[in-house]
Amino acid sequence: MHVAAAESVPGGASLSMQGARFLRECTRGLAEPGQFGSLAQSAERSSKQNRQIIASIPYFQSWREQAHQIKRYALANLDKLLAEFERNITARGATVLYAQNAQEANEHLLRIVRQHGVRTVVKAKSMVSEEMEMNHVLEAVGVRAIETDLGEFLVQLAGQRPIHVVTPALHLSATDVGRLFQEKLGEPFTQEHATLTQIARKHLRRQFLQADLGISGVNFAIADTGTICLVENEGNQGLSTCCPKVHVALMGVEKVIPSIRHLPVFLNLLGRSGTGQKLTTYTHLIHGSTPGQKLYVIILDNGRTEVLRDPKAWSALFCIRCGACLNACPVYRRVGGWAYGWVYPGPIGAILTPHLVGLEQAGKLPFASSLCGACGEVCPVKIDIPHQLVHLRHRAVQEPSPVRCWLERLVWRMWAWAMCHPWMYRVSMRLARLGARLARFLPWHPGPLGAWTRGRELPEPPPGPDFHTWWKKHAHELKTFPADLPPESPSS
Amino acid sequence: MAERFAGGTWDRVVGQPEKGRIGWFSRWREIRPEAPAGCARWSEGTAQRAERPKTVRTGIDGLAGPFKAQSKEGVMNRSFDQAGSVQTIVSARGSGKGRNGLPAPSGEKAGGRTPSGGQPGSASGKPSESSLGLEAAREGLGTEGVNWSAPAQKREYPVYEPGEPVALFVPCYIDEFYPQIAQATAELLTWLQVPVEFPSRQTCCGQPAFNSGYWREACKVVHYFCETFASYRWIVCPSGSCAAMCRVFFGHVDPDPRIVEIGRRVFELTEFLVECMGVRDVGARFPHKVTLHIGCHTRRELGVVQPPLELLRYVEGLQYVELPNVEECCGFGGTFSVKMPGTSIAMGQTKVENIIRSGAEVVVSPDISCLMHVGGILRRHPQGRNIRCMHIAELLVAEE
Repeated sequence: MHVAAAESVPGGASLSMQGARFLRECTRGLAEPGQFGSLAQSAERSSKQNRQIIASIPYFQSWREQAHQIKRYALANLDKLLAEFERNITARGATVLYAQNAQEANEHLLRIVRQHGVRTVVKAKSMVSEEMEMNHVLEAVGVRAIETDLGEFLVQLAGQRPIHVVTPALHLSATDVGRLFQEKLGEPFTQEHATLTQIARKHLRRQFLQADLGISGVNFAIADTGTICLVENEGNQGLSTCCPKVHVALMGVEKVIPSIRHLPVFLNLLGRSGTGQKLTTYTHLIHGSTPGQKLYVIILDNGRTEVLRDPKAWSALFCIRCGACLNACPVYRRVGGWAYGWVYPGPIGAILTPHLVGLEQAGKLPFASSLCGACGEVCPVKIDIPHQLVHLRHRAVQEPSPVRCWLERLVWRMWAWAMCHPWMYRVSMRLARLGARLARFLPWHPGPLGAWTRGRELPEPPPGPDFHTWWKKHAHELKTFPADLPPESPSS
Repeated sequence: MAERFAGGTWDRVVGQPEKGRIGWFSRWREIRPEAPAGCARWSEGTAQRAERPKTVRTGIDGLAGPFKAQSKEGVMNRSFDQAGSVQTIVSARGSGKGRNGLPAPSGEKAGGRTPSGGQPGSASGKPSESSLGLEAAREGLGTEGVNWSAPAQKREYPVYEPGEPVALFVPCYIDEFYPQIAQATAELLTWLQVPVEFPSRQTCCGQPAFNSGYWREACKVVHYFCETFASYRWIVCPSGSCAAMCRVFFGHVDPDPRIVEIGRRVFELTEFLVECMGVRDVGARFPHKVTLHIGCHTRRELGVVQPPLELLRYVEGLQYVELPNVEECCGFGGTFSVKMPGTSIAMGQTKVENIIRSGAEVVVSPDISCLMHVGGILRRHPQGRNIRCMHIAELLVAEE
């Protein structure tokens, strides 16, 4: 089902997971920062905004805990809840289709397309559709799929891939957008936000009225009422789901939550963490199909249920796709979303992609982090991303993956052996010091040493002895504060 | 339904929804948690759903049992209750105010809110009773001035009794490349009448291998560490990330409770001084413009943010300047710095620009590993060449 569109442009339209391209992209992109225009500033601004919001709401932490517990419960009872959701939404005229992988989901979709004689599709934002590489699949059967989310619309026009899960065109400035519209839509160049929005609106409105099929994602699937919850700011999801005769909602299995009573806490968190809003502009609750309209819900597994086997890793599925961890991640801000090689960028991508795609392909991703923990701190559903990263690193060096390397293992074995023998530790530390001394006379630095000295000076070894030696000689000379005068402290 | 999904996992999952499909999910039995409040009712199925009220409450109060205590009246009541006691604290401390350019800690804030210069604000001259009480109480409730992104619950620290021996754990890179930091730590602790011992068999905490994914190798080193330090109640380490390895990650490597327990005895130097010993003023003097960088493991894994600030506040002559974007990672990240050098250096350069923007002469940190990386970039930077990097222990014993 992978439609070949082999462009080697970074962020090019192809999402093909076949072959070494994914890997190459990862390896190259993650190690070196790229130029992504306004990405770094925008992400940083959002991150700061998010912090302010967190600080301004005293019960934000208890919301996070509640959301975490609800997701935990929902995933542990996924079998019951999915069946309940299906029962309830089917009772109101929807058709629920299950797909084990992206290919099956595409087959379902193509069957719907054929059945209803669809020629144009309007698409609201959906990460699952990116997983399915849906636009290519539809293109191959001659169906035009038009992205209607403004950001997605822009990246589709530019022939790129989304760079962010919430704001796909974060890297484009108003000038870029003006040029893009000038080039692709033949509009006069402008930088004004309002005018640009009007242009996009004008072009998209026509598509909504012509389309035969609307595709949307699902933010939350509520089991007890059989409801699909969609949140958005632009109104495009409302139009995509209402205007065409057929509506297809795509969701991953993990989107289900037990009850509508649990929805408010997620809505509170999602808007605030994602875009800094108290609530998104529109919140749609779709309870079933309206008369004269067909509603299909495609529920995609695509490796998610495999993640549930790993009790240390399954909380990666709690993700509500708010993008807070991306904004907070200093690595993401430097390398951009495309470097992560697949649909989900940033820290959440670094823990989800290896699960969904396999460590053979994505084993490098968990290493693309300085383990600073900013992602775990802001995550609204309390996914312990930094700990999962080290867990995945552990798996990546054990299982077949691009980072598994016998030489590296040997080095670490020797290191461990040296660290368990004090005399060997002494010898190796001496050697390290000697190496640091000599390194500055070397004309070139191999391997990790070269990586260090590319932008940094090596630490300068001190002239004196190491601490072990110093302690043996000078420990008895250390002075104590006179005993009759206790040390002053403000609490005493 | 079975026709739609012939074969595969889904067949088993969704095949017979009504007849108790448990088999496939049975492997979760052991990890299936207790239901959160309100979940159990809905998951029980149709029988319960019949009782569901017709109108669905979508407001937050539908969920927010525990929040009811924080209604408007609640805030008001508590604020008036606390007013008296807060005032006594303020008057007892007298000059509860910012020092060295550092804002006062949250407990003292009510006294004077002037951010810099150690000048008591007008509030300390004639504090109006009601405003003072309300403000302090609101702070106590956490609606203002509290960093909620910090770990939610306040950590409980054990109290150090005078005379208890303390083992010094000196990480490998400090031992060889920065011995003066270990010396300063030993001097400082001995000066504070702490009997310092240095088990000379010690090597490393295992963090480099752990972060690289080589847990089996790390495990050996962790076991060796625990053997070496098993007999000590207190282990103090002048590096936050090594202390975090011991306290937080030993359990990941080996969940043996004995290993975890030994890991918990390890404290970062500043948190040991401030939280366990209750020392803030060590009698140091350092008349320079100083900024503080706290490593991410220290900040987020250990939750140590206040202790280094507390220590800096009582250093004589020191002028503290805040680092812009102080929370952001410097890009060191252990092996990350050589595995992804371009990204790491780019992050370091941002940090260096922020340091230069802050106008500090000295960058101080409880993590010298971060400063090894930042200092390396600083030394190549035309404006940063003269900015010194110091460990906080060095600063606290410096004679300048």
